[in-house]
Amino acid sequence: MEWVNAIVQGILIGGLYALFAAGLSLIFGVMRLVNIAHGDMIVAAAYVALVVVQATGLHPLASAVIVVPLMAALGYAMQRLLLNPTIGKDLLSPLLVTFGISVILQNGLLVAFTADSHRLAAGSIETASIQVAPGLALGVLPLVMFAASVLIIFGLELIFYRTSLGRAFRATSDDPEIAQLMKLDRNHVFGMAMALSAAIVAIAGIFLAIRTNFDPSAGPARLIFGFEAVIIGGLGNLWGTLAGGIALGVAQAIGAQISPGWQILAGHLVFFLVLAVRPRGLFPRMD
Amino acid sequence: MAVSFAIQRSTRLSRVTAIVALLLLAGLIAAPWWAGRANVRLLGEVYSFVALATLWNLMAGYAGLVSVGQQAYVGFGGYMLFALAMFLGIHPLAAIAIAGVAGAIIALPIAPLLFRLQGAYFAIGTWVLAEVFRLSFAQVSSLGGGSGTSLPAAIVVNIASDRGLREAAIYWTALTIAVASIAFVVLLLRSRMGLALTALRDSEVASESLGIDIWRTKLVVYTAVAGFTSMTGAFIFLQKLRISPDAAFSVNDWTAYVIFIAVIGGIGTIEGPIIGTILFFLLRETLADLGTTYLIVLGAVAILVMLRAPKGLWGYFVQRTGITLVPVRRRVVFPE
Amino acid sequence: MSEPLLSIRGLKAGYGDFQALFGIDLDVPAGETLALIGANGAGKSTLLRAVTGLVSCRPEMVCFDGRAIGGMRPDRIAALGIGLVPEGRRLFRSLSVEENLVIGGERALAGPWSLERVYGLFPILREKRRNPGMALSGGQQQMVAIGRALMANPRLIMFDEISLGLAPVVIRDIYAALPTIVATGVSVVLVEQDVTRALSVAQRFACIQEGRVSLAGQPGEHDRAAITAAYFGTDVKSGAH
Repeated sequence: MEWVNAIVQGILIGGLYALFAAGLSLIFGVMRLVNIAHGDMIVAAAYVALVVVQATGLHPLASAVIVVPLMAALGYAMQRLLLNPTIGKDLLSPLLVTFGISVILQNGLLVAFTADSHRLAAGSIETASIQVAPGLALGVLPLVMFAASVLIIFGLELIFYRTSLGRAFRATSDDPEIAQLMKLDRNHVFGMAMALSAAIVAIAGIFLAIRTNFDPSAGPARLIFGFEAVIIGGLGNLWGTLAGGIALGVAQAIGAQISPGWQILAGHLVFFLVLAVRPRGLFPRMD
Repeated sequence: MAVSFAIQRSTRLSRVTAIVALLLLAGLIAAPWWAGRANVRLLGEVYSFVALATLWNLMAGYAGLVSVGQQAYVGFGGYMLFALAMFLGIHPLAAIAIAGVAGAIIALPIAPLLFRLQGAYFAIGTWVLAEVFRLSFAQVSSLGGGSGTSLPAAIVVNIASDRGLREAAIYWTALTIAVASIAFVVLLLRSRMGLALTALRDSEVASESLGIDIWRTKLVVYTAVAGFTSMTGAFIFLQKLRISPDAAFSVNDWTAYVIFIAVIGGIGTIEGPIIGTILFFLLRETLADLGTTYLIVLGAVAILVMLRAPKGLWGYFVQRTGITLVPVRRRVVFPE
Repeated sequence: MSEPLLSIRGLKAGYGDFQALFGIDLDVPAGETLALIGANGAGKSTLLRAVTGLVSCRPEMVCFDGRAIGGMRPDRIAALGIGLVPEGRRLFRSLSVEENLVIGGERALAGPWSLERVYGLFPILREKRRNPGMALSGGQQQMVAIGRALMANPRLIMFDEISLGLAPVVIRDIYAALPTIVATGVSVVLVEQDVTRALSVAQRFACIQEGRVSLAGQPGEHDRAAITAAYFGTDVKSGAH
């Protein structure tokens, strides 16, 4: 039962990993950019939530009302001011700019909040659980978060395939030059993609802050988990990404059962294993 | 009408540069006699960053392999030194060379895996690799596990019994590694493969149609850089005498600083990383507050450089003046 | 004569160090069709790219409806009512046929074209509307590309190499659709390899050679030999041979 429990917990945290991955994947899909600051943005969002909760007394989940639009606006501004000027020329420049942003965010948070770790208290919902079988209890909060993650991925899929914004994303990704002739301002489209990514980052940050302790150095690991979920699941396939996140979560849970030192390592090894035997991921997009 | 022309690489300036560089090198070799102990030590550190930045620049600036995970090989080299010296009793200076070979060997099977990652995802892949190394070495209890270990004094004394000579030997090792790294990059870029790399940078598709084996070229660059980086890492931890997973595989120390040095100095030039390193240490020695604030300032400057002068300070200088000190490209010269 | 809809004056443009156009003068009056002919590499595509803003030039070099638009952002120029059917179709590969059309119609000007009208013009597209754009045959893809440009209700539509790479029967279908398009009052610039066919549907033509206009006028004005000479660059004006 201990093992079943571990695997179930792994599945549930996989939803959060998929959330880390979704924003990363969105940006790569639209502008072929890998945002190295993605994990640090998640942690920054966690700190923003912390400040909002402390200042307003809102419930952490309710703080999304403020954190999400704020992060989206910051994401949009970051894209227009720092990233757009470098995009399109080569792969190196935008990548290094996001690396610079990552280092600045991480150390900026360190200056502002010290290296002490924090956590957002979510109240009674934290301890509530449902007994599904003898010896197997599911926490209400992890369930809610998993469901929310699935819903967000579903929503993202809808935006991508059912709205004019999604069409603009896909057209710009397919052929940036001709997309401009469709009256699409590339800079704005990229800005909107980063805003949407940052909105997901905001939710991910709040969830992270409720689930675990976080500190300014927690970002790179979130970036890596998200990245691994993307690659394990297969590029350009959001449901694959969810599966990738779950696979990663389960791998880590199994690793942790073997030895605490193996938790993260097991996830990395599964990532390299997938890269070795199925380089296009478990669920590659057909095209 | 036949047009007569010649292919030239060297310029008068580059020949002058070569002479000045040799004189400078002679002066640096003699540093243990004219510089204080603290300065000799600092110079050793400078050389290690010159080597790291030069090697990173070869990958990112010439081969299109943007890595944010070179700390994997710095740490690997460091741990190899400790393991070889402590468990096999190998002389530390010989262990540095062996660590380099080991780094290249381990990179060989890793490279094909990482190359499967598309475009910019390669960068994050290199980071995962560094994390795998960090977590794995943290499991090795004979090397101190998560908290690390120190190099036993007996091994240190083994380098040379006289303290002055020992420090000089370590210093010369660092100088050798830096000079060898630069020489390797210059010679590689001047070779046939260097032409291939230039073609690769200009257009991957076009160079493939010219029959250039991109994959093999990248493999050679990646493994060679891994080897030299491991050697540099082995030196760094010989100078530090203490190693731990967090220090050995630190992304800030061995990648962030190195990237900022290359970006500010000038990616895709031989001179850039050297100039960037000098600037980096001048700034570091003048700014009292190390660490956090310094990283923020460096990050901001690097972003500014990427936005305003993507070829860095040296690239900007070359653009303005047309001067290059270490030419790696050939020029067609028409007689008057 | 009233002010032309599109007026190009002394247009010089190129890519980096390579100059492709050396002072082009051209007019397209409202509602007329201009055939743009010339050999490969003469600069026709660069000309269209300059008009759409994909290649930059000085503002006064391109005027649309009396307004200097040279070097404006492509999306702004498109919004003024200039549409392009690019060489090689260039449909959006991840969009379905219908999505390709719909994206063309976003923020459209007021006008006759709608999804229904486009499907009326090219009925096959209605059948294939759920297919990915790239899954269609070359001719059908060209229909989508034309429909995509029409959906914006442009005041000027430019076709780059309208029949390049298409089967003769398909070319006939495409040309059969042209009168319907022209009848809506839109101005047309037509780049075409087949000079005879191009001249048969145009009120005016311009021949581009090595980045300059080598001959321009109305199709009846010049004989076949003069046009051929302007096309290939043999000198006829001197009458030396």
